Amino acid sequence: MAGELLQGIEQAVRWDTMLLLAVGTIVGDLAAAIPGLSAIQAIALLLPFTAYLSPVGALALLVGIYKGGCFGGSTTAILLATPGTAEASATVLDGYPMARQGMAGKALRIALWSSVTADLFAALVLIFGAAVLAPYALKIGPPEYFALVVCALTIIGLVGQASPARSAVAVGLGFLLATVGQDPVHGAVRFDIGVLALTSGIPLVPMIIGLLAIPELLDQFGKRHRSVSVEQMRAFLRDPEKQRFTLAEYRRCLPTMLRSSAVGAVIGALPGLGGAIAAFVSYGVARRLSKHPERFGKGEMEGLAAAEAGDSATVGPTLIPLLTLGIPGSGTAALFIPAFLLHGVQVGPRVFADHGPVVYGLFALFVIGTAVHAVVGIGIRAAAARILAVPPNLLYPAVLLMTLVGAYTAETSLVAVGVALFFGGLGMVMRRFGFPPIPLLIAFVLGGLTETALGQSLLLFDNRLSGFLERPLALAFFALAAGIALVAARGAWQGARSRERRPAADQRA
Amino acid sequence: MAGLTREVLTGGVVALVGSAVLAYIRSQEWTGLALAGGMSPKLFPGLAAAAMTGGGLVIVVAGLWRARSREAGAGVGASEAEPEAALPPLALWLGSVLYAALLPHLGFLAATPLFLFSLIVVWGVRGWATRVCFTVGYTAALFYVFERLLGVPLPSGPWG
Repeated sequence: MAGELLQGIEQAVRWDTMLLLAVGTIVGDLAAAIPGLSAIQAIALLLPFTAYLSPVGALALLVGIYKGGCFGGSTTAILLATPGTAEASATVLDGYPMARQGMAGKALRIALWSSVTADLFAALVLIFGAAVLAPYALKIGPPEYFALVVCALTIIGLVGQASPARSAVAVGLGFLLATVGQDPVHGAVRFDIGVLALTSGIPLVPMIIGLLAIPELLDQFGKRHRSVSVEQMRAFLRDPEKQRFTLAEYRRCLPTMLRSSAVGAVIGALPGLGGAIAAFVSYGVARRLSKHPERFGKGEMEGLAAAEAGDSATVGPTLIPLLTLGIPGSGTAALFIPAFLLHGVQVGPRVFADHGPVVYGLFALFVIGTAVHAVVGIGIRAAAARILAVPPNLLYPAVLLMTLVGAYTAETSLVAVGVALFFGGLGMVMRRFGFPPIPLLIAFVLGGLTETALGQSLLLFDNRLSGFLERPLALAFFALAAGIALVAARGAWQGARSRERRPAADQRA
Repeated sequence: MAGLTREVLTGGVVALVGSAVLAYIRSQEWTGLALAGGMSPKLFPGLAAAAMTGGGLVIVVAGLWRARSREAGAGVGASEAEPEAALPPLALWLGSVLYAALLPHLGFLAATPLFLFSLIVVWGVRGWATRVCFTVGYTAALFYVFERLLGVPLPSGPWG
C-alpha cells in the first residue's frame, strides 16, 4: 500500500500534472464566470481531451475544473449580483452589497480565501472518509448494490427537486437509454434501431456533452447579458485601502469558514444535494450563530465567507460515494466516471485494491489543488472579471463549435456528433418541460451495473424478489428509500393542500 | 390555464411514450445467450419504461388536481409563468444538425467557417472584419489543436 501511495503522490507532483491542475483551475474559474456555464459544462466539454492524458493527468484537469468552477461563479455574483453558477447564489447576499460599498476587491479576496480554506478541509474529509468507508464497501454484494442504487436515486430524485414525478421519469429514461445495445447479462442486443454503432451502447462522452453543455448554449442564443463597465469596476474598487483582506479579518472569519466547511462537507457527501443547498444552509447557520445577524445581507464578511466555504466544501466529499461504492452523488461527480473508464479504471468498492496509485494520486491532487487554487485565484481575479467584458455573441458560438468538435473527438466519428446533438435536443426539451437532466445522467451512468446487480441478485435468489428481504443491509436501503419517498410525498401533499387553501383565503379576504 | 393544459399534456405524452416502449418491449424476442434461471432481458428496460409511464401519469393527475384547485379559487393567483421563446434555440439546434450533416460532404475546413460565420452573424456580431477574422482565426485554431496537436483526423471534404 505504501508503494502505491508513493506512486500516486509521485504522479501527482509531476510538473505536467501540476500544469494540468493549474490549467483546469483556470478553465473552471473562467467558465464559471460566464453566465450559463459552470464546472459541469466545462468538464463535459473537456472530457474528450482527457483520453490523451495519463490517468492522473486526466484527473488533475478535472479536479482543477471542479475546484475552479466551484469558486468562479462568485465573480459575477459579487460584481453583477448575477451568480455565474447556482452554487454562488448565496454569495450575492453579502458579496454584492460589499461591491456596492466600494469593496469589490475585498469581497473577491474573502470569497477566494474562504473557498481555499474549505477546499483543504474538504480534501481531508475526502481522504479520511473514503479510507474509512472503503473496507465496508467491499462487503457489499449485488443485492445490496442494487438496493443502494435505488436508495441513492430516490434521494437524488426526490430531495431538492421541484417535481419528484419528473425526476422519476428522468431516472426511467436514463435507465432505458442505458439498456441500448448489448444486455450485460444475456448479450441480447436491444433498441439498436439497426445502427451498428449502437450495438455497443450509447457513447457516454458525446451523450454527456449533448445533455449538459448543448442545451445551455442553445438557451443563451438571443439572450442579453449584463456586463461590467469600466466605470462600474472603478467605482467598485475606488478605495485601494478598502480592498485588503487582513490576517486579523481572516482570523475573525475562520470559525465561520470551518463551521461552514463542516456543513458543506456533510451535505456534499449526501447524494443529490450539492453546493447551492450547502451554501444557503451554511449562510443560515452563520447568521443564526452571529452576534450581529442584522448585518447579514448588507455586506457582512462572515456571511460571504459562510456561503463560499459551504459551497466549496462539497467538492471533495461528493466523490466519497463515487470512489467507495461507484455511485456518484452529483452530476459533476458522475462526469468523473467516463474519465476513469477512458483509462480502464472502474470506480467502486475494488478501486483501492485494483487501481491504488490512481486513487492516491487523486487524493494528492485534491490537497495540492488547494494550493494551486489559491495561487491561480490570486492571479486570475482580474482576468475573471475581464471575461465579463468579452462579447457573449463571440464567446457562445465559439464554445458551441468547440462542443461539437469535442464530441467528434471523443469517438473520432460523426455518429458521436449525432449522439451529442440528439441529446442536446432532448436536453433542450427536458429543460422546457421541467425535467431535470442530472437524475437521467446518473441513472444512465449506473444503468449497466444496476441491471447486472439485479440479474445477479435474482440468480442468487432463484428468481425470487423476496430474496431481498433476507439481506438486512439491502432491506435497510430499501426502507430508507421508502421513508424518504413517504416524507417527500407528504410534503408534496401538504404543499398542494396549502396552495389549494390559499386562493380561497385570499378570495375571502 | 394554458400552463395546466401544458402540464396535463406533458404528463400524457410521457405516459404514452412509456406505454409504447412497454408494448414494444413485450413484442420483442430478445433472448441472447440466455442463462438458465437468469432474469429476462426485458425486465430491466420494462421497469424503466414503467417508471416513465407511472411518472407521466402522476404528472397528469397532479395537473388535473391543480386545475381543480384553481377553479375552486376562481382564478385567484392562477397566473402561470410564460414559457421562454422556443424558436431561437430550436433554430440554432437545427443549424447545428445541418452543420453535422454537411461535415462529411464539405469537410471540416469548409463546413466549419461556413457554420461559424452564419452563427456569429445571426448572434449579432457586427463588422465584416471582425466576422471574417474571428471565423478564419478560430477555425484555424481548432484545426491546429485537434488535427495537428492531438492527432484527431477531422472530416476531410473534396478539397482535403
